[in-house]
Amino acid sequence: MNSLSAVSAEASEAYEASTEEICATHKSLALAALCQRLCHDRKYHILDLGPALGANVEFFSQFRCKLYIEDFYQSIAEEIASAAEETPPPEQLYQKLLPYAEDIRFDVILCWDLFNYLPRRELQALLKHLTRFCQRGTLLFSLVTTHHQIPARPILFKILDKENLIYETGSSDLRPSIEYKPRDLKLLMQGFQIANNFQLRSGMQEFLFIHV
Amino acid sequence: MWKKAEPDHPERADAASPAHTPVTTREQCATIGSSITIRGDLSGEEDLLIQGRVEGKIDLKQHKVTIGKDGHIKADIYAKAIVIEGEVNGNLFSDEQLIIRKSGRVRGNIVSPRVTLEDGAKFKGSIDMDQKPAEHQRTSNEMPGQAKPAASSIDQIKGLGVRS
Repeated sequence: MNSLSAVSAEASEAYEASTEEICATHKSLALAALCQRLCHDRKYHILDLGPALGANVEFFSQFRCKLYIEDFYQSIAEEIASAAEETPPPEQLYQKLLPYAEDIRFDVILCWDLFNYLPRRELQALLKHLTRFCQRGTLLFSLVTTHHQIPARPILFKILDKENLIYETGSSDLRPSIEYKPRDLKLLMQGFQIANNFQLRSGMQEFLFIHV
Repeated sequence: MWKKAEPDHPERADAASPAHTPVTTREQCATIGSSITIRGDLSGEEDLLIQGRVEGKIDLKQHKVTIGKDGHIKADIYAKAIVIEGEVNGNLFSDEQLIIRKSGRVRGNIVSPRVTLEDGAKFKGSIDMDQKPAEHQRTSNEMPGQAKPAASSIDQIKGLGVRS
């Protein structure tokens, strides 16, 4: 059983049912930086690897955009749960879960806190796959924790406005975090540079990467 | 001496009046009941509520399509407005507004100037709020996305009045 199966074990048990919601509003400096780079006079292709949230759809509707919503963490969990045999290697799995035409190029990729839940090999494979659909100037938004413990499943990030996010945690269950350091991310994010980096009081480190 | 009988439903009598503007409520639109399964192309000239199963294509461009909580759809839907409370696997094209209610489950691509997702709604696919559905129809075959347009059979149903 590979490390992706751990995703399935946790996600499949409690992803649908929220026994206890914990909500908090946090300032997002990287989101503000991202919005500053978006204009209203051109169309953007935005890849959201988080779940579909009405607030976020509403927010991005102010920009001319095509929003691709993948709910990636849940998709992995479902795929692993339904696999009859051993889980396929990450490269193959991501090709299946994120199938795009070769000429697709995203302007923005919203990873939210996904990095905190993917072991190094899986994250490396994901980034390699996503890079195929990036172009010069593609922005990648990510929140990386500095805590040793993280919520058992990814946080729901609702965009309140250009500078604020609502963090919704489905339950108080915790798990150990993977704790990527900046030097780890530098190695993983080949082809990207850090455009903005903010350490928040919540313990999250916000990154806005730009593809060069 | 002889008095014309009062109509049983005064509002129906009013409906004949040119001044009356019928308000289409959920109860007044055509309905496909939960026990009904349709394979083929649906088209019509009135609003439609689907509680059953439809595979194929649903084309009510000038009207509203509601997929009820019991509805299971494997089809592309073209309508003026679309409301999803059930399950849809297909592409959705709306001229005005598309709403996915909290009970709704959608896999497919959406083209609509306005899209609303209630908390709890499930969606996977793309949302294009910048392209008119009429334009997009011509390019729908080129769209990437998880749901491919459902195949349609040779059957064609017009003038809906199907009730369970």
